[in-house]
Amino acid sequence: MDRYFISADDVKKTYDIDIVTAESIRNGLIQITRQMQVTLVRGALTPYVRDMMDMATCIHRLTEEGSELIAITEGCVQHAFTQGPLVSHILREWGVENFQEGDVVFTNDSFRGSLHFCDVNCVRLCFWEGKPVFVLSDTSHIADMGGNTAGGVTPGATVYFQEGIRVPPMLLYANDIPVRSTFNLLLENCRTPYLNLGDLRALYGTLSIGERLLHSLIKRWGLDNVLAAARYTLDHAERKARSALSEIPDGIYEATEFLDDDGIEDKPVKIHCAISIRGDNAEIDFSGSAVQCLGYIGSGWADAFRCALGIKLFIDPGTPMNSGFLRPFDAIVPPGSVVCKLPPGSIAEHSQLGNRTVSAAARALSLALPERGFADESATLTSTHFEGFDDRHGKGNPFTTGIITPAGWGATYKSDGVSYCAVAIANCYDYIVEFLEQEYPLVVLEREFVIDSGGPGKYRGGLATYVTLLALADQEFNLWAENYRGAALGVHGGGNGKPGYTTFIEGTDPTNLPTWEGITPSKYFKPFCGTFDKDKRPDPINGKYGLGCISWSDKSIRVRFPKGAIFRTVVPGAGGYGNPLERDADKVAQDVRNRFVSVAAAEESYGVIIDPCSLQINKEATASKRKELSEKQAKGEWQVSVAHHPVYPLETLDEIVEIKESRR
Amino acid sequence: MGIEHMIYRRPNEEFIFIKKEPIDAKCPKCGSTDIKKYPIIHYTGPRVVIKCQSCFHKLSMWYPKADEMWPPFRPATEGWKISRSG
Repeated sequence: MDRYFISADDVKKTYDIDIVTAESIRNGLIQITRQMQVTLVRGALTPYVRDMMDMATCIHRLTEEGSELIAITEGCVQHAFTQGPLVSHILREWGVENFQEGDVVFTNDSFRGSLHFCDVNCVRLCFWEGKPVFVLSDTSHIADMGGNTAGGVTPGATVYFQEGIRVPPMLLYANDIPVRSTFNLLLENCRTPYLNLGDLRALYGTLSIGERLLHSLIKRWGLDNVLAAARYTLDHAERKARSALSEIPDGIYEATEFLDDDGIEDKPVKIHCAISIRGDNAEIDFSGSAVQCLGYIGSGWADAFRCALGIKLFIDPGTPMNSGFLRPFDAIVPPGSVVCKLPPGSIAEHSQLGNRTVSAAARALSLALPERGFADESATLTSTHFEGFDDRHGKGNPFTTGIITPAGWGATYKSDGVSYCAVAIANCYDYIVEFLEQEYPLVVLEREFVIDSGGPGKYRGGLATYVTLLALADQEFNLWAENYRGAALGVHGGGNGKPGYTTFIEGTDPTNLPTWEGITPSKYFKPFCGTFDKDKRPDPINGKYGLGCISWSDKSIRVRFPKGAIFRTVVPGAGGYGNPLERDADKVAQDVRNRFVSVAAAEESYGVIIDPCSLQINKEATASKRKELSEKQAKGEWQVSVAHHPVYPLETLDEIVEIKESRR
Repeated sequence: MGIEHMIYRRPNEEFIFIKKEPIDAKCPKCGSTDIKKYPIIHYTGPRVVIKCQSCFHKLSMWYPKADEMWPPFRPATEGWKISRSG
């Protein structure tokens, strides 16, 4: 029997409660965070929280060392790995003894363990009979905190002073009374006071609701039982983590990732991750990573454990997350590296870094457990942030908003990658098109999958997505993306995902764009950034990064987006797993029917011959083609390609063979 | 606490490594003498550990002292008397 197994009798002896009570309270704590989540999402005004769920609500246990995260709601996943150390660190600085009932402490400080300045955090102690017994925290992405550009993520920033206001721990509410000076500071230094005021109140209200619900739980079960169940909850997660770690052979497992660039220097940024396993303990070491960027990519020390998401996906994806999972781990983030920037370095863009640290950790572990590997996800929360003046009829106000474009997840050892999903650290919803178009001068003309974008493999990588937007008023945008220069890596013989790119669409009717599954003839667009050939075709094989592009970097600031202009972002596809020549031919045919894979790519990347009219497999021709490619592969004359479009039209869509043939 | 932990110069090195300081001790768990001291992020926040490199047993762990320069940023007001407002 697993030595980490604990019986019902053991639970009784160890925690002095029966297992049914322990489990009831464990799930009750999670349910409280879900109720808090509903409160926050319904109360918030910014679309990031209201529509996209870029938030988290948490309950922590007080300890002598600070605190430990016991329960967190489903939401923006990265917070499950950062809120625990952050809140513990804040409590140490503020002092638990200095909290009074109804006090809420606010901070957004990345150098104290938070993410970037727009991800704000509130902390409140839950008191019971006059004594603090638990800690409640919530975090959400608010619309703006000042700085050079709207939205708080400032491509081109080199120091954090340019990003917005950095707020050390401050009282937001004192005994449930709003602290005017803090509110004034926050509201008078942002572009969106009308959104921020609502969000701050929602954050406070959420904590109040959480305290009320915790009181109900304590009233029902008794404080001693709830405290005991909290210890049980943490120990349970720790046991699961240790049990999984003990199955991994002792050793050091290393992986390297590269960010495309930092928006200032035209060179990739290296992230190195080594995971050392000793029995049921582990150490994550980022030594060997690049020195901190000149540009805005980086984090304080939050990435120490954000990467552990990549590990948890591997070893224990099912157990609800809490600090217990992190107990077997220590993390090393060398100060002055990209994963632990020294102030005043800019840390505005932390998410692209976080995606990479997760990929690196997952790929390092896949060396230890190749039979349970998964390929890289798109590794980018491609975000575009808009700012301008909305002069539409009936409007007449400045605006700022942002969108993310979900992409694909890497294929796994047993399934294709998920498509149209925000990156692993985010797990956010996509924006709601109708709300976006109503509230801001933008029209979403297209939002679809891109054909031939998932990395080929026995299991195919998740697809890329493209979004095409029309401006209804003069505005500017900032873009930050990744894997335009690089690609999401395939594993164990799988191909890389298709790199992303951005273009301006021109010379065509916006109500009738010449697009087929993400392909628009080169004649109708101007490359903004990405990898293109001399004919402006997006081509990761024969193209060159930045060729003919307006911007050399996929991190751009203040790009003019005048009224009537159309721009399209194509996010990267994800990596494939395993040899594509071993993919079930019926699945390839299904992908062709679903327009995930073209007829041409089915032949070129998978060796499956499909009739373009009937979309049926030609079994004889397939067997012959696969034999031919396998023999070439064995000799090194053929290898799995990066996902790409085998056929790309320059003038009209009719040039795409599938369309010609299907019109017979 | 002063202002020494607030603003830094960007390092000159191309890649950054943590320095683990060897410690003259023996692991009480496995008997190894490969013991090192270095800064970490623990699930409760930044700490300094003395840790066996063979089995990862922690011989000791503490919240970093001011001169240990970890975490890199520390507020100038650390150690000051706290008011009602913080």
